[in-house]
Amino acid sequence: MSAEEFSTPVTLIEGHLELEVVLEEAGKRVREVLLKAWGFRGFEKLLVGLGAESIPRVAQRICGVCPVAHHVAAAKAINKALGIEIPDYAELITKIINLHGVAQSHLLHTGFMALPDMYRVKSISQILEKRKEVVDNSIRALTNSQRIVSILGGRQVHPVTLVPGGVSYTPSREDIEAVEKACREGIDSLKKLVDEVLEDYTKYLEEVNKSMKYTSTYYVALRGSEPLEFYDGDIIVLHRRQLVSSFKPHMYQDYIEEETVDYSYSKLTKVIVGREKHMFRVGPLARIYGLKDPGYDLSREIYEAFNKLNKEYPENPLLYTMARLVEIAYCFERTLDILEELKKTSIKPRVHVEPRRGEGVAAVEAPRGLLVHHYKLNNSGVVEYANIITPTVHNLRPMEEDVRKTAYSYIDSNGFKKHEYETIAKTIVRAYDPCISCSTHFVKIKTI
Amino acid sequence: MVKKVGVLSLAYCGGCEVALLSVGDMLEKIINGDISLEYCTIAVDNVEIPKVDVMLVTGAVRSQRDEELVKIAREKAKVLVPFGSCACYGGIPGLLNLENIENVLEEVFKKKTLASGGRAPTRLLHEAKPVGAVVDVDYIVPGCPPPQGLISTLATAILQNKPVRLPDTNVCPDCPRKRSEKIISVKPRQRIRSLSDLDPDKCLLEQGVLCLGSITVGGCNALCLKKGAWCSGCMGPLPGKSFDEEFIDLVSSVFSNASVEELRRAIPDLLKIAYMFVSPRSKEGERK
Repeated sequence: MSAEEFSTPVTLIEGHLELEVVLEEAGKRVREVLLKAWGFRGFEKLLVGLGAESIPRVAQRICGVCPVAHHVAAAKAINKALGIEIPDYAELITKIINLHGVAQSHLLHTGFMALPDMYRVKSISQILEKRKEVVDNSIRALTNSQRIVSILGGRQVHPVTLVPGGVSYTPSREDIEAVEKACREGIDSLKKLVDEVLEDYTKYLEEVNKSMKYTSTYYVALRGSEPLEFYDGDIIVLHRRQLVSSFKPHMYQDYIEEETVDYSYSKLTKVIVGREKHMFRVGPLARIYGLKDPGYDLSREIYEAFNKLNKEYPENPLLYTMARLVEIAYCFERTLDILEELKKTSIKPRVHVEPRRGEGVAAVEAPRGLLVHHYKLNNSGVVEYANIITPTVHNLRPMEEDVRKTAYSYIDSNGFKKHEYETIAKTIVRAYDPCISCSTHFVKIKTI
Repeated sequence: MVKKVGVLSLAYCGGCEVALLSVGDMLEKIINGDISLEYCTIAVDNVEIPKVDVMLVTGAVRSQRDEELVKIAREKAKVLVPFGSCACYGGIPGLLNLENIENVLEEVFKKKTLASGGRAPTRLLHEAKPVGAVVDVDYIVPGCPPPQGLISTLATAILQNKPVRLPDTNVCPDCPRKRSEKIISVKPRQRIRSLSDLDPDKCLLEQGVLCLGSITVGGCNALCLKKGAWCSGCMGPLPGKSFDEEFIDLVSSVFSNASVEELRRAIPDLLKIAYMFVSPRSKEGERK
């Protein structure tokens, strides 16, 4: 019997992703559901031959939605390869930049992608007619987060201030005050936004939950000394919110296994726990599942709301949206504390760097989850090997699994309900906030 | 009259779209309804390329699909504008043109089928190309991403049916560092070694550190230089100039007293620095 296939591009996400469904038996049976990524640019190859100091500036061109995470991870890995410990002052600034890389990306997703999906409109402009204040508050919070990255990073997209040895820019007193002000305004706008959308979101979740299927998976994130760790620590593996394994970032190649598929420019991965291999999710949901208490007022308030919803719909990928809101609050609130620490720290932006042969691996939490950068340098400090493992690579497998499982329930006596299915499948994919430009990569890890 | 605008994303990173949708004149005009954003897969749920007044194209032409899409966009747009340095000059993805793409794919994916298409949505071209190498373009808006000032100029230009004119000046007038009247000849220093002891008030070139601001078209407000970083040339060449020729002139005049060995040691990645954003095309308007 001949197969019928259809495919559609997934919109309101970063990058190029196609949803393809292959049906057989006259639309009565789903043979295959695939998520096909394209948009390969080959970063790990083009970075080879560049001086170490250019890497934080060039590697981030992988992604313009989460450039900050790449800027931070690249700088951290390069410093490791050079045997450099950056001064505390530089590290505090790096942490603030990193937090707002997370917040600005989350806010972009919330305003421009998640809210249009939730209100069933085509773009943010169409929400204006119904809920102007929602748009205003989401853009105001976003702008405040972007302002912080601009002040400390030099540019809001593709910042420049993280260099081997520390930071190239020492913020003035006015800069610090402006960052503080941006945090307070950000908290205020976010609080209003959450108050305005929580009820709508709860209804939307309840409704969508009925029309989708999803998978229980393992979760992988960083765990360090901060309540929500974005910069340091070990990589932990969770299952049903319990810790089942952990490993050091530089061991990533022993614990994460990749698989090449012939239909996509992205690979798929599994995490190795003992003798088993498991599909896993990364990102806001993984981080929040590892969290005990965010430690700040607004973050805690949203976290409690998250927990309530999570009891009803455990592991529903749509909870990613709520987890993002907890994290945005945390990024603003945590920054105020780091600023206090910064004021007490002696001003030393960077240390001297001598190029040398070396190897460095760094793991940070990017907005979408665990991000690993790995470089080898030659005697002149020139990159001779680069490997970058982006979070969306890990999330693609559960994402594909969710849309596949969901597809089976869209067949009735009339055949496959194509339109309804496409709508729900896109909603599922969007909830993960995939970054396909990040995922279409050169990942060099264990090959099955 | 409301102007219909689309954004077609090719081999891109999303940074141009983020810059376009950040607070500024463009977003304001989209929100107040002067500009209607009809197509932009990252921010609008439309899957078909519609007829528009102005189509902005981001990213390099890297795959056969990119080539097909940009041709469709050209037919449907009254005005077509490469937006960002990947679309204007090939940008960072163009650096891969120094490699053989089949070898890269074989090494990465270990599957010949993907290199030749397989079940993947499209096949890669042998090289990354700027948009202007595939279709006629009306004007360009460079930058990685384009700076907010230039985006404001673009927003006004769209409403007035006019092209954007790039400045005739380089990045230097906006740079806070002081520079002598005449370029003096200095010994080159490796950038990585110089970071800790740079004089924050003095021209980087005069301190022996390669900065591309003097051969790069202005309009960016020298954002990088204001935060202690050198210009990496993301805005591309001055109108009518060729970036690689200018680069050779710059290096040979500023470091005229340096031996080849000194140059090689100070700038071990000279070729990649010269071609960082302009490998497929180093001159505006040049047609391959």
